This record gives sequence, C-alpha cells and structure tokens, in this order.
Amino acid sequence: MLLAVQDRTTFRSTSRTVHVYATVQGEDGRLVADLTRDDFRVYEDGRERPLTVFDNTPQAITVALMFDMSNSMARYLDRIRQAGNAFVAALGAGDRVRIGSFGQEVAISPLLTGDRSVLARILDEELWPGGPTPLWYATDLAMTSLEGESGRRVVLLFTDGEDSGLLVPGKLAETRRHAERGGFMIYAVGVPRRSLADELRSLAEDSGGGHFLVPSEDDLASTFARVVDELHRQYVLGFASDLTDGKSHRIDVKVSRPGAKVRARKNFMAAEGVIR
Amino acid sequence: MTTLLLCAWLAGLQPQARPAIDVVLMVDVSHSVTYGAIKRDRTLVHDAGAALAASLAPGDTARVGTFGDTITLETARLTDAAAVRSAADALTDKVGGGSPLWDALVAAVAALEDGKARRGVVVITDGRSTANRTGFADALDRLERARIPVYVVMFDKSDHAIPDPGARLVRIAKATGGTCLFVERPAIAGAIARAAAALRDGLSATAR
Repeated sequence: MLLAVQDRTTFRSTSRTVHVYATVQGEDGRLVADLTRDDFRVYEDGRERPLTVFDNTPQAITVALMFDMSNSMARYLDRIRQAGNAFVAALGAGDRVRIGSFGQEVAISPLLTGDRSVLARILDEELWPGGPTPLWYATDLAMTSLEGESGRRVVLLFTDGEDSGLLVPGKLAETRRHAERGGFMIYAVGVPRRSLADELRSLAEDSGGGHFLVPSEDDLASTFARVVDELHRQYVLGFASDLTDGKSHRIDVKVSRPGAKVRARKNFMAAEGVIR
Repeated sequence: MTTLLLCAWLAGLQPQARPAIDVVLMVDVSHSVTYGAIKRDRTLVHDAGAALAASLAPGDTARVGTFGDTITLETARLTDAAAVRSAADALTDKVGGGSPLWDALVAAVAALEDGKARRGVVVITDGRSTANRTGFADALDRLERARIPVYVVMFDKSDHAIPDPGARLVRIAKATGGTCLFVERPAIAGAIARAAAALRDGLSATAR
C-alpha cells in the first residue's frame, strides 16, 4: 500500500520545543492511527505539559538503513538485498534513505535519496560481507550522517549480533547519549529465530524506536516494509520546555484509549544556557 | 641506395626515446584495506608511492591520491621521484572509512583530462566498493569514454567468500585498455612497476 505522504514537515528549531514521535498499537498489535490531540498526555519529569505540536498525518521519513555485514551475516546476503528492496519499495513520496553497512568497514552512502533506482543500485553494488560487528560505532556514524537533517531522523539496523568493536572502538554509552541528544529514533531488526542483544533493544526502546524479531527468512522483507508503515503512521507531538540545564530529562507519553500502548522516546536533553 | 640503407641501419641503432607517462596513483585506504584485526596497515600508501617513484623516468609526471573517508588528490603534477614519495608519505595518516572506488577512478581520470603525455590511472584496492556517488555502470561509461587506461592492482585481505570483487574491475581494465593484476600484499610494489611499464609501452592485458 502506498501512503499519501505529506511534504517534509520543517520544524523551526527553537530549543524550547521538544518533539516526540509516538507509535501507538492496539491490544491486537495493530497500529492505531486515529487518535486525536486530546487522547495524548505528555509529561516532562512527571509534570504534565500541554501539547504545542500535534500532527497525525503521514510524515515523510529520513532513514539511515544500516546492514550488519559481519562474517556471520554472509549467508543472508541475498535476503538482505531482498529486505532492503522491500524497504525501498514501501517508501512514500518525500521519504529519503541513506544506505550503509558495517563489518570489514563502516561505509555509509553519501547519497540521501528517495530515488528507488539509486537505492537499488547501492543495495546491489555496495554490500560486502566479512569482518567483525562494530555495532555502536556504526550506529553513531549513521546518526552523524543525518545530523544536518530536520524532522524525524531514524536509524534502522539489521543485525545478528552484539558489538565486537574489533576494528574501531565504539561505546554504547556514547551512542546512547548521541541518540538522546539528537532525538534519533533507533530501530533494530534481528535475523530469523535469534533475539537481539539486550543493549540494542534497550537503546531502541529508549529512543522511541522499536525492535523486531523475524520468525523466518521469508518474513524479512515484510518486516522491513512494516517498519516503513509504522514510521509513516507515527504521531508528531511537541511540548514547550523551559529547562536550560543541559541535562537528560524524562518524558512519558500516555494515551487515553483503553488497551492501547504507546512507544515514544523516554528522555530528552534539555537546552543549555539561556533560551532566547 | 646503399647510402639510404646505411642511414636506416644507423637510425635503428639510435636509442628509442621512451614515451613520457602522466600517471595518477590512487590507493584504497578504506577500513577494509588499512585496518587489520590487530593493527592498522599504514604502510600501503608509502609503499605504493615509493614503487611508483621508482618507476618514473625523466619527463614523466605523477600524482598520488587516496580514497576512504574522503578522496584526496592533489592537482599539481609531480616531476621527480622524491616529490612523489613525499606526497605519498603525506597521505599515510588518511586511513579508514568506506571505499568510494568508482568515485575515485572518475576523479582520477578527470584529473588527467588535460594531460599531453601517455596518461593512465593505477589503482590499488581490495575491490570492495562502497559509499560511491557514482554507480558502476555510470563509472564504466565515463572511464571508457575518457580513453584513459586504468591499471588495477588488486589484493583481497578477506579470507571469506564474498561476491567476486574483481569482476567489475576486470571489466573496467578491459574497457579502458588497462590491465588488472591480482597480487598478494608483498607483491604490490612489483605490480605497480609492471603497471607503469605497461602504460609506457601501451600494453593491455589482464592476468590473474
């Protein structure tokens, strides 16, 4: 299904407004896309804050799609390409993707594009299996590659393992801080029948992203398409914050619909100094 | 008649002027080439530059570039071996990142467009191409149209089965009139010398 996606929403960067992207699922696990502003409550360090931004129309997405190409992933190469192409096929107008990989090297395409032929070319030519799993370093670089973009910024990782850090040192704590500071959403998809590392799941949950287990190899492509669908159906929320201590603060998002569960980032980094 | 034959014979005895070459050496310094599991290989650019310098003859010009996180290629042509070695040594710290192989070849060929001597590109790589702005088909087309031979010196540090990293490079070498040599790391210097000699002699061959 091709969603009609609005042109990119540009938020003027006032450090007072904290943006939160929320995914809501019903008891049956299906996405709930018909909530209104009044259905949401947002709390900053436990204090309810009035919503100053609300949008429930499909939003264009900006994604760094990162494939783990470590030794153990070599057997999935064809499936990885299929999954990547399924992801690309599910993109809507205005969506942009940057494809990268990590293993023998961490390589991220300089092209951030919605052009399907270019993305298909990169999937075909630029995935090389082999090497260790510099997971945190790769995640960090992927976020850096989206640093200059506005709006919702997503890193989607397809990986089978835990960080091995053999080639280049990367630290989970730094990656976590980077995600919080930049408001990046982290998504992770694991290989079939294998659970993701606890640290990665935790990072994804705290960022407001998500993680997916894949029952079988045949489900890879549909899982990637599902991630795109979820990203398109997120709610854009925002509240005004007057915190200026440069520290991490808690965010809680609740919805009034019975049985519905909401996923959103759990922390944000307050502005530092005087807000003008 | 006898005089004419004598003149022709004497002309044959004169040493043949070796054609000058104008060469760009591009060295892959991506993670996959320069980072080992134990330590970084920071000697590749130095070794490659020294090998090219040793292959130069009076009248030749050369430049040394690298590709990894960025593509680095000085615009000024170097005319002596010491300058080539020095230029290579100045690049030894620029290691790591992806492998924009096609972009690097396109940049190298573009840098040679205004050359008058026998022009060629020598590229040292493990064949993995990532983080390119230019796709392979587009790069192949541009390289072919430039009519500048590409001499590939390829080595693969990986001990794992990967899609044939050399297939596309062989196509480029054939299409441009260059050569493609597959070597082990210690043989890279010799392969660069062979590539320079092939450029000077206008040879085209692919050997594994």
